[in-house]
Amino acid sequence: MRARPERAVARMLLLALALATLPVAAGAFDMAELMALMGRVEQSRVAFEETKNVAALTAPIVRRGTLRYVRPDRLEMRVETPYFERMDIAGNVLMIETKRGTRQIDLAAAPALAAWVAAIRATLAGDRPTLARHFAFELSGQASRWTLALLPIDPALSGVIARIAIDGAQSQVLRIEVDERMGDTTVLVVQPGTGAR
Amino acid sequence: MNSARRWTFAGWLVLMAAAAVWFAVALNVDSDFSAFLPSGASQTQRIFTRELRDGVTSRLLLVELAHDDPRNLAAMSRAMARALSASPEFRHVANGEGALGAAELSLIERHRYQLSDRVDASHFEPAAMRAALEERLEGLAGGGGALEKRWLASDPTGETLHILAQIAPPIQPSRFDGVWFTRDGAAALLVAQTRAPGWDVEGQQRAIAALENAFAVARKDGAAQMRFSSPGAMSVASRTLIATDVTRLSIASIVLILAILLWAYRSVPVVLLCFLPAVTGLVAGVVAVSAWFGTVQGITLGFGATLLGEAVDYPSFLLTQLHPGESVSGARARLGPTLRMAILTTACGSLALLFADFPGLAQLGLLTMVGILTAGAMAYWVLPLWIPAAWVRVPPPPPAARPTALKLGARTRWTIVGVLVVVVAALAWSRPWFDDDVASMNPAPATLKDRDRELREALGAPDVRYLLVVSGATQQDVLARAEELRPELQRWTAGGAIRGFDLVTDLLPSAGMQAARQSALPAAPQLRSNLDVALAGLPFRPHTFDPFLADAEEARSAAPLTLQSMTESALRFRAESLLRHDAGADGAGGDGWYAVVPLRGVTDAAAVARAAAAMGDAQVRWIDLRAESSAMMADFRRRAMLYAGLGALLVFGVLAQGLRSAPQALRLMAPVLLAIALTAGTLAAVGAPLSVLHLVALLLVLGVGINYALFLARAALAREDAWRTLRTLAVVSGTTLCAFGMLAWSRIAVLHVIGTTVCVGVAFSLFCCGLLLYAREPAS
Repeated sequence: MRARPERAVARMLLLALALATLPVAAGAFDMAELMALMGRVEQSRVAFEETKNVAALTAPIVRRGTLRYVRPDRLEMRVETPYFERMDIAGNVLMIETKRGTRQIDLAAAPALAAWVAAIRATLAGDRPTLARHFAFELSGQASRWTLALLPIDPALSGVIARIAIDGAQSQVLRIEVDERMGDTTVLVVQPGTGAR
Repeated sequence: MNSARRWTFAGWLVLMAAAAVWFAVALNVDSDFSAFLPSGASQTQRIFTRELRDGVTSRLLLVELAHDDPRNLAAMSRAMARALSASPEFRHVANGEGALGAAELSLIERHRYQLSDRVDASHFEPAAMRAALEERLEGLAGGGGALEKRWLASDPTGETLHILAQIAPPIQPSRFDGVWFTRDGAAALLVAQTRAPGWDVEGQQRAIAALENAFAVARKDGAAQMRFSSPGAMSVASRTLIATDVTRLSIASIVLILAILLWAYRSVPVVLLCFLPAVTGLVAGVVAVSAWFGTVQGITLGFGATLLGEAVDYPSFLLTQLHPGESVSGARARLGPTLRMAILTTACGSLALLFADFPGLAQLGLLTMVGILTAGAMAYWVLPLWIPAAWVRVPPPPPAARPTALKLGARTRWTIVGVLVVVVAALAWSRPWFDDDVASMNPAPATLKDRDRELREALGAPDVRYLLVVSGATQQDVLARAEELRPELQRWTAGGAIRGFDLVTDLLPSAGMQAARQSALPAAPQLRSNLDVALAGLPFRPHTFDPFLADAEEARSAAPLTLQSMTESALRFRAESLLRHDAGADGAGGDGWYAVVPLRGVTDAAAVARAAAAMGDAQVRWIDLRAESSAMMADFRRRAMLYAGLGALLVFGVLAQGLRSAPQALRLMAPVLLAIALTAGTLAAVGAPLSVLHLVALLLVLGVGINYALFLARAALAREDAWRTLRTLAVVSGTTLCAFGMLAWSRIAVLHVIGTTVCVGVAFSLFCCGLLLYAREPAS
C-alpha cells in the first residue's frame, strides 16, 4: 500500500498536534480532577495483599484481606491471614477487632492514627481539604495512571512515617506504599480484577 | 470650748497618723476568699478547704486561641507553650504536643519495671514472654504497626505502653497539627499550671500578665483572639470588676448622700464632718483586726465597711434634731440616752460574732464592734465639740406641721401585720430558704463562670466532684494502702459505676512495691534463657531484644522512684497533687499524709458510696465535694445564725437595761425582728434564698432597724420633737437606701445581694416600726 504524500503530511501534522497538546492534557490532570474523579465513587470493595518489611523480623509479613469504602466516611479493612483483624472506621471512631477482643479509639485523640486513616479515606472520598490538613501532596501521571505522594505535616505522624504513595488508574486505587522513617515499608497491592462494584 | 476643739482635733490627727503608719508597716490584706470559709474541724473539711485553696484545680489556667486560620493558631499554641514553659510563673504547660513531654516519657521508660503493676515472678517466665512476643508480632503486623515499634527492642513485654494507658486521661481533646483543638477545629487549647496557688491573687495576676505577654508576642499582628479561665483568673477579673463597680457605684451613692445631707444641713463643712465618725471607725476597726489576727481578710474589709454604713447615721441623729439656738452638745444632752442605746445595741450585736470559730466571722465581729464604738464615741463626744451650732442651718419645722401619730387601733395594726406575714409566708412556703452552694460565695460574675465551664468541657477537664481520700501516718503508709485500692477501683470501672480514676500509685508505687517488682525480675542469665525459649520459632532476628536484657538487668538494682527523683516533671506535679501532706492530721499536733483519688464520670454515686463504706477501712473515705461544701456552708450559716441570735439577745439586754423595762425592750425589738423575718421571706419568695451574705446584710438591718425603733418610740412620746424625728428618719433611711440601692445595681452577686437585702430590710423596718411604734389608739 502506497501512502499519498499529502496524507502523510496530514498524519504528521496530526501527530505533531497530538504531541503538542499532550503535555497540556497531562498538566490538566491535577488534584482537582483526581478529587472529582474519586468523588464520584459511592462505594468500593477490593481484595488486597499487603507486604510489610520489618527490620526486626527475619521474613516479611504478608497479609491478605479486603478493603471496603462506603461514602462518605466508612472504611473497613478486613484481614483474613495470617491473623484475623478487622478495622472499622466510621466518622471519628476506629474500631479494631482481633481475636483478643475489640477496642475503640477516638481518632480525634490519636493524631498519628487519624492522619494514617485520612491518607486512605480522604483519597477514596476525594476530600481534598482533609488531605491538605494532614499532608503536603504531589500528584504525578495522568488520569489513566497516577501517583499521589503524601508527606505528613502532623509531627505526630511525620516522626514515624516519611511518605505515603498511592497509585491508581482513573478512580481505582491500585497500590498503597507506606515508607517509615526507620526504613521499614508496607506495600498494599490491590488484587487485579477485584475492583468491580 | 475652743481649746477642747483644738486638743481633740490634734489628738484625732495624731491617732490617724499613727494608724496610717500602722497600715504602711503592718497591714496585711489577705485576698484569699476561701479563708472566709470555716477553718475546718474534721479532716474531710480541712482537705476540702485546702484543695479549694491551693489544690491543682485552683492552679489550672485554661486558654483558648481562636479567630484565625487553624494553622496559625497551632503555630501560636506551640510558641506560647514554649514561652510559658520558660516563664517562672508557670510550672507546667500542655497543649497536646505529645500527651507527655520527652522528659516524662523517658522517666516512665526508665522506671517501667518499678511502675508496671504487671511485673511479678510469673511475668518473665518463658510462657508469659512467649505470649507477649506473639502479641508484639501481631501488633507489628496490624494496622497501627508502625506506631508500636518504638519500644519493641527494649520493652517486648510492653510495660511502657501499659503504664501510659493506665495514666492517660480517658478523654482527650481533639488535635490538629499536633496540638489540642476544640472539636469543631475553630480554637486551639492550652492548659497551664501556675506556680502561685489559686488564692494568691497577686501571683495569679503576674501569671496572667505573663500569659497575655506570651500571647501578644505569638500573635504578632495576626487576628487571633485569646480567652482564658481559671479560679485565679476569675479572682483577678472579679477583683478588677469589683473595684470598677465599687468605684462607679460609690461615686453615684456618695453624690446622692451628699445631696440629701446638703438638703438637710445646708452646710458643706457639716456634711463632710458627718462622714468622719464612720471613716474613723473603719480605720480603728481595721487596725484592731490586723493587730489581733495578724491579717485582714479582703472580704472582712468589704463586709465591715457595709456594717459601718450605719455609723454615717449617728451625726444625723443629733444634727437633724437641733432646736433653734440649741448647741450640738445641747441636743446630745437631750438625745443622749437614745443615741447611746443605738450605738451600744449595734456594738453588742456584733460582739457575738467575735466568738465565732470562723476566722472571717470573728474578724467581722471585731471590726464592726471596734468600728461602731469608735464611730459612736466620735459622734457622741467629739463632733458636738467640732460643729458650732451656727454651722447647721436646719430649717425649723413649718408652723402648720403637726404630725400626728397614725390613728389605728391595735386590732387593725396587728391585722395588717398578720396579713403581711401570711402573704409572704404563702409566697415563700414552697421555696428554698437557704442557699448553701459555695459558688454563691464566689464573687465572679456569671459570664466568667460560663466561660470556665465551656473551656473545661472543651478540654475534657470537668470539675471533680467525687473523691476517695486515703490517709495514713507516713507517705509510704498511704501509698501502700492506696495500692490495695486498685482492684476495687477497677471493679467499679468495669461495672460502669465510674468511668475512671486517678491513683497516685500508678505514678509513684510504694517503696515496698517497687522493691518487690525489682526482685521479681530474673537475673540476666535466667532472663536470657527464658527469652530464648520464648523466641523459638518466632521470626524475630537474633539480638533484636538485647536492649531489653540490658535494661532489665539495670532495673534490678535501680534506686527507687521518689517524688524527689521525679525532678521538675509533669508527672511529679501530678503525683504531688494526688499525694499531700496534712499538718495536724491526727488532731494531736502530729502530721500525716493523704492521697486524693479523684473519681471520674461517676454514674451511680450512691452505689460507689456504699461500696466504699463496705470496704470498712477507716483509712479510706468517700467524699462528695459538692455535698461536703454545702454541708460546710450550711454549718457556717447555722453558726452565723446562732451568733446573730446571741447578738440579738445581747441587743435585747442592752435595750432592757437602757429602758429599765424588759417589756418595753421587747416592744421595740418586735417590729425589727418582724421586718427581718419579712425580708428573709420576701427574698425566698422571689427566688433568692438566704446565704451567709444575706445574714451579714440582715445584721445591718437589725442595727439600723433598732435605731429607727428607738427614735420612733421617742417621737411617739416626745410630741414636740415628732416632726424633727420624722425628718431625721427621712434623712438616715434616705442615705442608707441610696448607698445600698446603688449596690443592688452591681453586676457582682455579692454586692447585689447585700444591696437588695439591706434595701428591702430598711423598707420593712420603717414600715413595721412606723406601724407598731408610731401609732396610737384612735380617740374614742
